[in-house]
Amino acid sequence: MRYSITSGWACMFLLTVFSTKAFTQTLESADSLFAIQQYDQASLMYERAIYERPDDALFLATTLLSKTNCLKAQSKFEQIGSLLSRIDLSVLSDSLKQEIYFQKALGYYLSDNFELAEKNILPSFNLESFHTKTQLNSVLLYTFILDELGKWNQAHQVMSDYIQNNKMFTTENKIVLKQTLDSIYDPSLQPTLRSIKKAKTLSLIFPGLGQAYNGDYKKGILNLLLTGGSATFGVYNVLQANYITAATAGVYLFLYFYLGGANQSSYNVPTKNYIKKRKYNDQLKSEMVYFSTFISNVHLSNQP
Amino acid sequence: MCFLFPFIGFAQEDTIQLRDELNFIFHLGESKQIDDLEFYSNQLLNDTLSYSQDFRDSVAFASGTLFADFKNSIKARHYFDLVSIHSVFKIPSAYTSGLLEMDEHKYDLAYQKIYDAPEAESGILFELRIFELAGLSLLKKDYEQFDLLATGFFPEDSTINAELKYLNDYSYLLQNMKKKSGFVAGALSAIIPGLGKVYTGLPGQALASFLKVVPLGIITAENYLHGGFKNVQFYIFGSLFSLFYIGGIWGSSISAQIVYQEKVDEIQHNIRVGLHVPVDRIFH
Repeated sequence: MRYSITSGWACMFLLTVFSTKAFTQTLESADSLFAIQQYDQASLMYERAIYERPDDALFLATTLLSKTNCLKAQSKFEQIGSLLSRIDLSVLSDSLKQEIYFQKALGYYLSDNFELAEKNILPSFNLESFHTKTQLNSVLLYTFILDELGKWNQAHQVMSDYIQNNKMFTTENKIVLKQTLDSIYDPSLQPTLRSIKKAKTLSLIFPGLGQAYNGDYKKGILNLLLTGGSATFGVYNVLQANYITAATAGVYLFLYFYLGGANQSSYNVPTKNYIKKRKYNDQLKSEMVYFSTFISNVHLSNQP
Repeated sequence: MCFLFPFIGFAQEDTIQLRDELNFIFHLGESKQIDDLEFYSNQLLNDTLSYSQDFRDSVAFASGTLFADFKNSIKARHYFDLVSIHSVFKIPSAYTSGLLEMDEHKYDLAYQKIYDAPEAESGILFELRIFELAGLSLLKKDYEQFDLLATGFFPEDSTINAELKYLNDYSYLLQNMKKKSGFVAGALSAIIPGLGKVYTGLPGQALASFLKVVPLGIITAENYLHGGFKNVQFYIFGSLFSLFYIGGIWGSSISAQIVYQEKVDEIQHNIRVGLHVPVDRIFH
């Protein structure tokens, strides 16, 4: 009896050692494959390691974080969010949670899903222990996301608060960084985005005015001519005693061009806004990349 | 995907390795790692030196099933079609792949896939084969072949029996459904705009057509009365009236065919749903 219990424990120990070795080897080979840029194979091996070590939330989290690097290397950014959603965050440390929020938000940001990116980066700021190094990355990513959403003033505020509240910076650092940031987010350089509702209302008040407000002067004049022409056609037919023609064709054509023009003015607003926003954000992004390098250098120079 | 497990015992292979690889494939499926699943399946399927045909058939079938779950019909069919003819998975693979072809209206290909599947001489699989081929014949509008297969066929399986009754009803409907005359519809619309569409069973479109053509006719008449042939507006509205009037006649005549086709499509949709029922029940 005692012999069988001892041999049972021995078997369990050997099995544990064997299985531990198996997933460790798999993970190591996944890392090696990633290092030699065999991303498909590396991604598969990370999954294999997870499969070989089920029910370990911490291992799942760290391995999936490694797997996100494969996805990033293959530009499969849209898969990162759903991949990291497999992780049960409730059992993880704050620093790991922060990394997961960051990677998820980064995945959504890189796949142009800025609303989801914002939703995923925000919880990382509510964590109790907010790791300083990752904090800078999170704040930078958050400002990039806010820039893409056209919330430039908020982005400016987020970065200003970070500089202001960071104990790593000296007062002189803070002044220089703040001045640089203010020049980047100069409100006079921000594009004036047009409102869909306003464009439509203006076109309803006076045909073509909505298009002119959006900068489409040619379309505005055309809309004015067509609406005016159809109104003239209706009046002309009343004067000619063609009452049926005026009441049907005249009214129809007038309403068609009048309401159609109002709708058309609102369709063009998002496209025009996007072009303006893109142009400004591209410039802003390149300046913020320089700024982030600058801020990192200040960070490093102040480290003990 | 659970329906695969009863079949695993059939594969004569190093069962521990097979089960482990298949479980890993299912792990990839459950965690929705589609790219990894495809990459790994292809890796296993292409490794003819390390893995036997039996094992690769199991992999192909498992991958096909998972891709079918992901509603990726192209990849599912690809993997199902890779299952070899001697495999125990061939019958479920051929039927599922055939029905996926059917869902994309490729009835000839669907028929061929099920026809080429290994035959059972009796039992539920025999009944299923006859039923599916009969249904596909109906979808192909090969009524002669349908009658040949369905006449005197009395399946013992209650599901197949119930679905076969529906097939017989649909066959009767398809063969006896009367198509409204396009000529009559056009002629009616020539007399009163929109009347042809009432005849073909489209009262809403009839009203729309009437409200377009008649006011234009009245406007044309008014302009003629107030200026005769010298009135420019008479020509403009006269042209528009002619355009909509002729368009209405043409629309009514083709609506007869459209309405008929819509009814056929509805019946064919019901047939397709019905053909899935016994396959899902037997193999899932």
